[in-house]
Amino acid sequence: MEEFRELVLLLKNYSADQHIEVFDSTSIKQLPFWTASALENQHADADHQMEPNARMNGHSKATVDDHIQSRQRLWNTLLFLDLTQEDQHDPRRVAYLCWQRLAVLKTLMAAGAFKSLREIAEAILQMATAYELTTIVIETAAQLRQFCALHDGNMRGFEKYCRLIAQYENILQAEQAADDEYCTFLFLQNEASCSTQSLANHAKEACQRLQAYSCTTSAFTLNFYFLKLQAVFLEAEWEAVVKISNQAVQLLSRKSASSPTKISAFSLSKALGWANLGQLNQALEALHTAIIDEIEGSLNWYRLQELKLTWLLHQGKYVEALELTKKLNLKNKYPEWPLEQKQLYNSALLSLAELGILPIPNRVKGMLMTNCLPFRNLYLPEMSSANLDAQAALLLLQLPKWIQSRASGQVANWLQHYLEWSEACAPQSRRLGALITTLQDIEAGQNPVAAAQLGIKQLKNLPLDYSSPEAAPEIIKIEQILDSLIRF
Amino acid sequence: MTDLKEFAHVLDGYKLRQVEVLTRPLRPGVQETRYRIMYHALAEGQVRNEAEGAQLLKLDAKGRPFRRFLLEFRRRLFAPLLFLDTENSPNFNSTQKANFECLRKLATFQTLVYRHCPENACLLAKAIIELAIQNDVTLVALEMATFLKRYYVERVPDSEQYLHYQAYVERLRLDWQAENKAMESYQAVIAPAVKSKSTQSQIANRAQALVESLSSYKEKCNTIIFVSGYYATRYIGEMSRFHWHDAIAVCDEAISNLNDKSCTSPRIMAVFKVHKVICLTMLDRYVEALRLNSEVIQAEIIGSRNWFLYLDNQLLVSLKATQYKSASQTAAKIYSSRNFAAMPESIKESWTLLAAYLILADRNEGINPGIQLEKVLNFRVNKFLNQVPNYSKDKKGMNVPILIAQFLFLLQSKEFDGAHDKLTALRKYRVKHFNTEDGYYRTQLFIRMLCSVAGTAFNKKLFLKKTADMIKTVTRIPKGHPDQHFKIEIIPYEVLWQWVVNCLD
Repeated sequence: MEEFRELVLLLKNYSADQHIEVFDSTSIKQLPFWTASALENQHADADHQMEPNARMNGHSKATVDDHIQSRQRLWNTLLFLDLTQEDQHDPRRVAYLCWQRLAVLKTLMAAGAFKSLREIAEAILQMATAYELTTIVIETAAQLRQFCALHDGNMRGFEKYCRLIAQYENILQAEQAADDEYCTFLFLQNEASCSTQSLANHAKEACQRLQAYSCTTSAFTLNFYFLKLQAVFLEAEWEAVVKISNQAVQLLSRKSASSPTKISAFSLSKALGWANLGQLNQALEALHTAIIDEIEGSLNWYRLQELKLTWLLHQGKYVEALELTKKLNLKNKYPEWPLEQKQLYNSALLSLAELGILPIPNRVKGMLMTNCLPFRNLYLPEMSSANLDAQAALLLLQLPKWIQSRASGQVANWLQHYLEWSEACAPQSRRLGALITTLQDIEAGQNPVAAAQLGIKQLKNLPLDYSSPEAAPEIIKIEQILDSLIRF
Repeated sequence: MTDLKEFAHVLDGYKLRQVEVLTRPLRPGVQETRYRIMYHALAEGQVRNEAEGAQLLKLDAKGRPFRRFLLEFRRRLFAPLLFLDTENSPNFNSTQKANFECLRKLATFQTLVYRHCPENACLLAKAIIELAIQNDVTLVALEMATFLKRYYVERVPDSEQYLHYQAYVERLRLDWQAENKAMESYQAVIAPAVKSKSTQSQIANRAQALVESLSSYKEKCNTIIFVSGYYATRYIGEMSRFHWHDAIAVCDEAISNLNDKSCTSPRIMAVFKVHKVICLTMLDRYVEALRLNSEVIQAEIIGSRNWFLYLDNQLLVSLKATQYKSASQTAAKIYSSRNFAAMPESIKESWTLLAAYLILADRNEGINPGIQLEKVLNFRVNKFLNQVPNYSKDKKGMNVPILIAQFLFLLQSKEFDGAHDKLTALRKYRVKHFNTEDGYYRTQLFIRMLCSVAGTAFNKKLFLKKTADMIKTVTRIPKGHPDQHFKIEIIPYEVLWQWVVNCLD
């Protein structure tokens, strides 16, 4: 028990408890961001709470008022939370636990508590090596090297850690180079002046530079394959996109160190690749894998679900789309589906119901109506309005009604302005351009059905662009809308 | 509220009832967790070993449940360890406080990053990066800068901020690498000396090569750790060559360099001051040495490992200066400290040896007749005579003063057979391990003088006659000249010679 006593005495001597301010389950639930649904979720825990903290509870209300103090206390709480979680092998969890322990290790070293040091350090090193946490390996090995050199004069141990550090310094160098290349690429991408071709060339050159490193860690592989993927993505080589994404997924899946969310990004690329090749079924399959790997409830998870929803709608699988929308609407665990997106998709499905394409039971309709855009009101939104893409999507859904009320010219003008304002990519612009022509023809007196048929014919030669996960404004394909116009 | 909202998602997945701060006092009438019970029992000294720990929890000490408990208990100690109260403790200076703060924040920061709370991670990184840079906490600054660089190119694109943090990252990467190289160099030359005090000429050459390899970083990196590692490697090189004046110059340069930095820690400066103390001692400048060493002790945490090491130095210099009273006061401080038992064996062994010389001084010079020094220092002659210490492998190093001290004890108690055995051992060592090219002139001469006692059948007159010329030669050789480790000649040989004379009839 000597090593435990050393730690306990260190804590006792520097009376840490006075400075540990944490939230317990009672006081945390009084925080303003804690939603009603989250409260329900945690109800069982509150009932079984073992250690209510009277000192903290007494002040909880005052503390909630103080934003900074709340945040500070939440940060502290975070360090005390992760005790008996089940996802022990989740690479992200391993990573932050290793960092926490490295901080403890360095604290012990600085405070001169040596008895437990070696045991803790060896455990961290083992874990960090297995999960390819290069910086932690180097730092921990450096602590052990120092321990061997200065504490017990163990030359063999000292040399062993020197070798380990040298080995990992090479790995770190490769990882840093890959990270730098990745960031530089993003930097150029953010610069408006950089053309698509020069970006693609930059990505290719970066890959060539990185090939010189014989590094196989997850961190390196991620950045390397990201750049490789970008090069083909920007040149719209969709078969290569699928192939490279596949390679990356296979390489990363073999490693325990790979975070599923990172693998998910490559699965998404694969899905987009398939989609652009016109293989929506395979695309949906890959997208499904990406969703499984993503953290449920995260922003990305919702974005992937929205993409799935769009693709289901594009394929005309309206019933499946409705089921998914219901599921997302009913998800009450914090955070909920972002409101704007929820409203847009609910409106899309309600519009389909209104056109008689998708029968929706009244109970479900009621649920969707509680969170939807004013899809029955015909109005042209301001170009400066927020979330213009969603507004454009709504307008497309209302198209049959606009035509029926003989206002196709106004819509055509609005869409023309939208194209100028928005950052729609070339294929999308061409498709909207075809629609504008159709609307202008109708405005000029052409039979709406004939114009719609002509429009559909033209759109067949202009495939939808799936290079971006953003779905709006074509949540429902223009062809499908024009088709509904014919039937309407 | 975006930053606070991030937490709801993270906290939603946890069982909040498990938030438990072990260090809080036990509350009467409340059923506490086993972990808190164990923590308080250990803190109060009610549990001293595993058997008692298991008994407290009514578990089998060798059973799996108790093992599992200990594993979990250790994990639960980690979080409170990040909250050591450094602010209210006089033992920590501002640099150390900043270091602890940065480490705690690093743990939180990485938890936020990997728990996908980027907004909070960004807030924290911005709040802590300047503190980390100001105090040369390079790893923390580097991690924060790397995150912010990526944040401003990936999440919230901002060219200006991105370029700002990119510059930081480049600088900090170099600093981190330089620090690692400097510390490795320092450890490479110091490690061989932890258990062995023999002259190791290869250390001087190694140190020189390492200093040369560090020179490319010298112009670019100026962090505390780099400066310390670089200059420490340099002074060890000089000291290994017995260039005491040059070593003092290196220490002074390092101290001046560190003084220029706002975040300099007195504890880091102490490393250089202590080595200056050694050099001053080797140049017989005892008054300066003791004054500087006292200054160093004052700046250290009482009971820390360094505090013990600096007291060890004070004791050694006092003995060399033949200031026995001061030496005995220092020794009493060491032995009465409650942290004494926790010190590593290699350090304790050094104290036992110094204690042996102090006892010899007490017996020969009568330091303080009112105090039983052997009791104070918990020193048992018989144990000392029979132990086979680590240093016994240190052929040209600390084994010599051990054998000399053992011989002196035996001589004092007129155990001539035993004393004769020690002389035989000393003679063998001299023949086997020392030759004229080796240096160690004072030690070699003194061993020869001691060995001559056997030839005189422990007769005073004959011994004086045989050693008269040799002791004159020893006196002529300055203590700073000998190319031997400063710890080998603990009390000047001239004094020891006189004690030998006093013991003979």
